[in-house]
Amino acid sequence: MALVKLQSEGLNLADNFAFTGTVSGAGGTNTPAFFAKLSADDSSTYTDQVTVKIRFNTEVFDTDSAYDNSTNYRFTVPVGGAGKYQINVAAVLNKSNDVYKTTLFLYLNGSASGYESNGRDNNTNTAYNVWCSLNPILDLSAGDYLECYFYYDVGSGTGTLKGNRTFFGGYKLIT
Amino acid sequence: MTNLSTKIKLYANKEIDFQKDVLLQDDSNGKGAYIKEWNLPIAKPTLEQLEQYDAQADLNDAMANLRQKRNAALAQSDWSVLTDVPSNPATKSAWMNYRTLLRNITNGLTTKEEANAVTLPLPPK
Repeated sequence: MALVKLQSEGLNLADNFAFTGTVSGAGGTNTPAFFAKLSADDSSTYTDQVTVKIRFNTEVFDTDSAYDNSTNYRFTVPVGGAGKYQINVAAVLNKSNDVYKTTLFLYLNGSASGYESNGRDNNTNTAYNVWCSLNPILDLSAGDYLECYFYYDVGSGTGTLKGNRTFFGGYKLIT
Repeated sequence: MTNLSTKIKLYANKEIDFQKDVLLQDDSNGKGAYIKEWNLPIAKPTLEQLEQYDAQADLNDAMANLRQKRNAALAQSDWSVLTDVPSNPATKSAWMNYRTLLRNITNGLTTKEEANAVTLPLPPK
């Protein structure tokens, strides 16, 4: 093997290196990571003026089996997974009219974390798809768990959370 | 299913901010909604007290649904009574009668079954 780039004073960092093997011991991976969504539009779970846990029941990926998509609908930081996480949540309420207010909450360990998003906060007779989203970076410890809740206040009837636009995901940042 | 927030409004006999005065939560565990926080200066109701409002809450919810549909139909026909819409007296009268029927559609309804059974009149051709 020709060591043409090895020089008496060391490596010249301005040179280009074309590795064909594996570099280990450097960098990192953005795991644990997960992404979950609704399996379909959901109009039955949510009721007027009640804060309801969103049932993200379909996992797209879950690197550490840390997201529960069947019982508690929560992400739990696994042992060894403490650190800073980029969390992304979105919810879209579909209703033809009379949407006074929508709020998306991120709960930490069973209580409101302080991160919430109002999609609409006024009295209107015209609404169709009302969007809320959250993108906080959280410093989490092993065992901490995150859940998402949704609240709406409508004049009458019920709204539908859109399956293809309502999701919950996150990944650990490399620090 | 009767809406818990409707029953609580009837119990408190006032409009309520359900993100401040009273927090209702449903943990999606099959147990339904419950009162998580009660911040009103009156006693928190028991389940038995709230059940007394079932029939009235059902009626209120059904009437709200009906009014929402009625209001939408009225809004869609607002154009018919504009003064600059060209139409003959008979056509205009038909639209005015239609809108009167809509406005009176909630009169005399006393149960949710009656409210749910109402069908809106068809607009004039």
